[in-house]
Amino acid sequence: MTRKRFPTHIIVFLAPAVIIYTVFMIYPLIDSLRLSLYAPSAENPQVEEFVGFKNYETLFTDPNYAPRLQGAVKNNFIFFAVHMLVQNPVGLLLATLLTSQLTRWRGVFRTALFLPTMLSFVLVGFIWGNIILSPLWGIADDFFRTIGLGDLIQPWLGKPETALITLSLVSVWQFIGIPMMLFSAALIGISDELIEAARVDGATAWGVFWYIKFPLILPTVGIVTILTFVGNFNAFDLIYTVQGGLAGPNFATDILGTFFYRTFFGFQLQAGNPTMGATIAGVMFLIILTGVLVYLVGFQRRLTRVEY
Amino acid sequence: MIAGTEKLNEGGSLAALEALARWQPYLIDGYQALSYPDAQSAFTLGLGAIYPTGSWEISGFEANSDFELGIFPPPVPEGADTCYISDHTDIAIGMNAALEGDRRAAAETFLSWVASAEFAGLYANALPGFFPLSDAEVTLDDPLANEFLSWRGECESTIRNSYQILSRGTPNLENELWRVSAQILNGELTPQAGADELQAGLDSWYTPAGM
Amino acid sequence: MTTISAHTRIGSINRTLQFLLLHGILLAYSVLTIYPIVLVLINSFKSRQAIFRNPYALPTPETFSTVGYDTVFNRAAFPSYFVNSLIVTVVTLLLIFIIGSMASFALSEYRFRGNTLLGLYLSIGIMIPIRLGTVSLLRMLVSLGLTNTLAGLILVYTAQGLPLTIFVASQFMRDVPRDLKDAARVDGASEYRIYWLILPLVRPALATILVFNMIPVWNDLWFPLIIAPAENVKTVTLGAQVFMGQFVNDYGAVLASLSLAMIPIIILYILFSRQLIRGLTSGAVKF
Repeated sequence: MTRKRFPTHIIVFLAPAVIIYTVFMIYPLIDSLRLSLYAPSAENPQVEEFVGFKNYETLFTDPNYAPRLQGAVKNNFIFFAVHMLVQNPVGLLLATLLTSQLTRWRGVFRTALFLPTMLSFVLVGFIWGNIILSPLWGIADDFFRTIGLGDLIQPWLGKPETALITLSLVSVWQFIGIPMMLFSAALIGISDELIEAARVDGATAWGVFWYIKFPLILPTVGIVTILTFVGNFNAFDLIYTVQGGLAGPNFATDILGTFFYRTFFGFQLQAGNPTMGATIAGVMFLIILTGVLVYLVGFQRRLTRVEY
Repeated sequence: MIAGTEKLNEGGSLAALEALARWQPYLIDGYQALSYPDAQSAFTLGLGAIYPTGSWEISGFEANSDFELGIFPPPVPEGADTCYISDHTDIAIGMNAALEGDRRAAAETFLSWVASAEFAGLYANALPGFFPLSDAEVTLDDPLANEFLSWRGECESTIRNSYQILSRGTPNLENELWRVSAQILNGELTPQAGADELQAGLDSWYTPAGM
Repeated sequence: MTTISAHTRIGSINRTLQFLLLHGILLAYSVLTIYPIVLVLINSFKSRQAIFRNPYALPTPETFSTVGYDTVFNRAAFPSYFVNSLIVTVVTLLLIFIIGSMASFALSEYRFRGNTLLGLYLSIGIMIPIRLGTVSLLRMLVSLGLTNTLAGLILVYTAQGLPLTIFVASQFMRDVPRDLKDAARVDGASEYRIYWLILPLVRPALATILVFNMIPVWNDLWFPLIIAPAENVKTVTLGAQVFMGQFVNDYGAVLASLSLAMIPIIILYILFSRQLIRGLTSGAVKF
C-alpha cells in the first residue's frame, strides 16, 4: 500500500493564499494575544517578560485604565445600538422602497444611497465635523431654523451628552449603503408570484412585507446584525478624524478602537504602551468572538432548522 | 512642581484655571464644538475681538485676515506688576554621537551652520513668530514678531508646566490639561474640581524629586 | 359595475399616492446623501472668504477660485499620495483576485483531506478583524523592513481581503457545471487551464468581491497611520488627514484634496456597479 502523493497543483493553488493569510493575519492575531501576557521588565524596559494575566488585571482594576475601559465598552454598545435602531431599519426601508415594483430610476437611487459608503472616513469626518455641524459654517443650524426647530440647536459635537449619538448618526449616514445593498439583494430574490398571490388574497403592502418578505430575508437580518456588530466594535477612524485621539469631550466619544489606538500608539505627549495595547485588543477579540459565536450557534443554527 | 513644592490645585496653577473659567461668557456661540482651525478661521473672519494664543500664529493670521492685528502680553492680576511670558523650546536638532568620518564631518558642518548667525536670521524671518535660540543678534522684519520679542526684556519667564518631565507617566499631564480645560470651559467642572483631578492624576505616578 | 370601477379608481389613486410617497422618500434620502458632497465640491472652487460668507452659493465669477487646487498640486505632495493609493489599491485587488480565486478553485474543485477544515481556517478572518493584531503586525513588519513601504500595506490588505473573497468565490465556483470541466479534462486540459476557463464564469462574484475590497483599502486610515506614515509612501486618505491636521486651516486646499480623493473610487464603483448588483442578487453573500 503506497499512499497517494498529495497533488502538486492543489498545493500550487492554495499555497499563496494560505501563506499570506497565515503570516499577515493569523500569526499577528495570535502573537498579539501572547503579547498581552507580557510587560516591559522593571529593571530593563527594553526587555519584555511574561506576567500572566497581570495586564488584564490592570486593565480591569487600575484607576487609569478601568474607567476608560468601562467607558469605551459602554460607548461602544451605544454606538452599536444606534446602528441597530437606525441604520439597519432605515436601510431595510430604503431597500424595500428601492426594490418595489413601482420604483423608477432604481440605478440612480441606488448609486445615490450607496455614495456615502464609498467615501473615506476623512471626508465623512470633515463634511460632518468641520462643515455641516460646525458652528462656524452654521449649516445644521440653518437647517433646524428653517424647519422651525431653531431651539434645538446646540454644539452637538462639543457636549458630552450629545457627541456620541451625533457621531453614531454620522457613521449611520456613511454605512447605510451596506444593509441597503444586502437587503436589496435578498428582496430581489423573493419570487414575484408569491407576492402576487398574497396580493390577490387581499394582503396589504404592510402585510406582504411583514408576513412574507421579512421572514424570507431573516438570514440577511442576521448577517447584517453580525457585520454591524463586528464593524462597530472595530471602529476607530471616524471618531479619530472628528474628535482626535482623546475622543473628547471628556472621553464621551471614546470607543474600544480609539482606546486601543491611544494606549498602543500614544497620543500627543502620551507615550505608547504596546503590551497594554495588545491587552485591549485581547478584550476586543473576546467581545467580537462572543458576538460571532452567539450568531453562529444561536441565530444561524435556528434558521437552518426552520428551513428544513 | 517638579520638586514637589508647588501643586496644580493651589496658588498660581489654580488661579490660571480660575481665569480660564472666567473667559466662558466671552467665547463665541457653539465654542464647545469649535475645532482648532475653526477657531483660527473665526478670528481671521472677524468673528472675535481677542484670540489668546502665542507668536506661532503670526504668519497664519497675517495671511488670512483683512484687518490690522495688534498684540498684548498676558495681563497681570490686580496689584501685581510683573508680567510673565513663556518661551517654548519646540524644536531641537542633534547629531548621533556615534557618527564617524565623513558623515560626522558633514553633520558637524550642518549643525555649525544651524548654530550660525546666518541661519538664525533666515529662520526667524522665514517663520515670523518662531525665534531662534541663538546668541546672534538678529534683525526681524515682522513688526508683530519684534513686539513679541521685546517682551523678553519686560517680562519674567515662566514655565510650560505639562511638558517633558510631568508628562512622562499615566495619566499624561498634557492630555489631562486638554481634557480638564475643556471641561472647565464647558461648565462641567469648577476650576477647583478640575485642578484637584489634575493633581490627583499627577500624584498617582509622579514622585517629586528629592522626596 | 359601478362598484368595481370605483374600486379601480380608488386603487389607482392609491397607487399614485404610493408612487409619490415612495419616490418622495427616496428622493429626500438621496438629497441627504448627495447634498453634503455637493457642498464640498462647490466650496472647493471658492475663495476662503466666500466659503464662509455663503457656503450654499455656487461659485460666481467674483468668488470663483482654484487656489485650493493650486495648493494641492503645487505645494503639497498630493500627486504622489494619489499614485501611492492607486498602486496599493490596484496591486492589492490584483493579488486578492489571483490568489483568492486560485484558492477558491482548489477548495471547490478537489476533494482532499482537510478541505473543510482549511475552508473554516480561511474564513476566520471574515469575522475577526486584522486590526486586532496590529501590535504584533507592526513589530513583524519592522523586523522584515516593511514599515513605510507600499509592499507592507499591500500584503496586509491582501491578507485582510482574502477570507471573504475565498468564501464567496468558492461558493460560486461550486455552482459551475461539472460537465464543462470534465469536457475540458477529456480534451486533455491541465488543471491550471481549467482554472483559467472557469474564471470568466464567476465574474459577477469576483466583481462584487473587488468592490467590497476596494472601498476599505482605498479609504483606510488605520494602517497607513501606523505602518506607513512616511511622506514618500503616504496614501491619499492619510495625506488628506494630515493636510487638515489641527494646525492647518487652509480650507480651500482641504476641500480640493477631498474632492479629488472621491473621484477614483466613484469611477471604480461605476465601472463595477452592474456586476456588483448581479453578484449580490445571485447570492454572492449567502452565508
